[in-house]
Amino acid sequence: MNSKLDRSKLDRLKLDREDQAILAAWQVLESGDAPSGTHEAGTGNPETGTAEDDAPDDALVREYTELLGLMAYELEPAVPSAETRTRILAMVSDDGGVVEGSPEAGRVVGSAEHFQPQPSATPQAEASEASPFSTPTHGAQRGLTWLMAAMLGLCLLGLGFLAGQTQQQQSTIAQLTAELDRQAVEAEKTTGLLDELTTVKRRFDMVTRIARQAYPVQAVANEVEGQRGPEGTIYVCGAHQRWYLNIDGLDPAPPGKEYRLWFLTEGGTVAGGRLDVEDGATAELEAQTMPNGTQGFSVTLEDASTAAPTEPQGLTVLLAEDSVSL
Amino acid sequence: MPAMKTAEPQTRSSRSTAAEDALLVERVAAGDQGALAELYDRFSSLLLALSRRILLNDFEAEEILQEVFLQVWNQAKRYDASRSSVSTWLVLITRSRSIDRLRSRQVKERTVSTLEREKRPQHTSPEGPEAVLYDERRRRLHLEMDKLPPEQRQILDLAFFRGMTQSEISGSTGIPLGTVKTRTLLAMKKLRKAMAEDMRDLL
Repeated sequence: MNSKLDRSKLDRLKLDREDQAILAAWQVLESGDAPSGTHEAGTGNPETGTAEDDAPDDALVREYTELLGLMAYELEPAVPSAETRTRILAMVSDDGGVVEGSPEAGRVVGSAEHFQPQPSATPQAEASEASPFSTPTHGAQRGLTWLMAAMLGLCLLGLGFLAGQTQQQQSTIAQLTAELDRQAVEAEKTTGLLDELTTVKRRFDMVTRIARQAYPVQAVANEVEGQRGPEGTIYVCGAHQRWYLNIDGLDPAPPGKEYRLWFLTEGGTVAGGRLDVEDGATAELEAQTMPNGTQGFSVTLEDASTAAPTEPQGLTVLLAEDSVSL
Repeated sequence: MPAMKTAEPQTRSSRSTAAEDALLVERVAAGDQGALAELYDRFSSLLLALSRRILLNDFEAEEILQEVFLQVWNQAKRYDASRSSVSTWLVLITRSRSIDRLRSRQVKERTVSTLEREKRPQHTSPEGPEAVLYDERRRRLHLEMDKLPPEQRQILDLAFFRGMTQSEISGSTGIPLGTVKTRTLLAMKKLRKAMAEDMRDLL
């Protein structure tokens, strides 16, 4: 009811040319339809109340249009970020410019009306603006940039983590390998020590066994030049025919020579093996068996180049025969 | 006499600035990126302030600013200096895009928080001769707007910054449509007189 009254009141208003010019300019704000070059003079407009005989003056419309443009100056200026300027200029650059005819270029105000805004936006219009062909918006670009930066950061973080893990694992493997080598050496040492201990224990048992017999082995006087009177003992466990010989004070064999042990039996001499002698150390030799009828032992110095001799041919160095009776 | 002598250079300066703006648009139409940069430097603070005032959102306002200048780059050939100044052309494009954005997100009512933010606009004063002109215009317009009766000022605000039609203003405020129109006419006439000098600079 009120609207009808207002409309009738308005219709009764006699709008002068200035009023019509204002309303014509105002149309720019309201509808987005651009006034034509003649500002639709003479057509009449029920909404604005214009009359055909009172067409708005173009100059006046222009003035009021400019007045509308001035209204923005009421606001305090707001300086945009430098990024916006850079982005706009980058987008219009030769490399990545927005060219005429592109979707972005198509988003313009009404055909020939340069200063007219576009028709009121609708969700559909907004959606079309956000089409893949339109220029990315500030927020979208910023979001995309942040997303890419975050993904890149995560990738770098992951790579860094993996690199760190790999390096740590390689270091651990190297440490374990070194430790394994060290343990192998230690095990070898331990094995050697165990063997040595076993040997010592066995020899100790041999030496301390109640049933064993010990026979002195003495140097053959004046038979070897330079000998300083070596002497030793041969322990024999008669029940098992095991024996153990140790000799002290015997110098290492001269080059090309080696010491050999011989069993003196009723049937002749039987080879007992080579006797290795180190300087200052006790020479030792042992075996699990002994020829039957052994009556004594001798150690001779034989040529090393000769194949294992079956009969003593060199000088006799040590001898134990008189007291042995097995 | 001395007063006239001091006033003339200012007027000449403003008019030459408007002419320079038009030349810049011509250069932009010819594909001069430097001209676009200069145009941006002259008007970006004004246009951003407008878009921010309408949208109350800094990010969206900068998006609008970007869209406007891309449109200018692509449509500069269509600018007709006989129909509006460059300043008005840019303001109306920016306003239109901002209002479109506002309508598209269906925000018609401002929250208390956004109103509070509106009272504390973030701004930085631009520099250069354009800033001086801007400041002078703003000061004059602010003065003249303050002289308007609140009911007339309200109509202008709702129409210009909220994008409401006169019918919508009438519907939302309960003011009869005829009264809305009458107030609009009165306010515009007063402002035209008060801002005559500025408008002449633009014509």
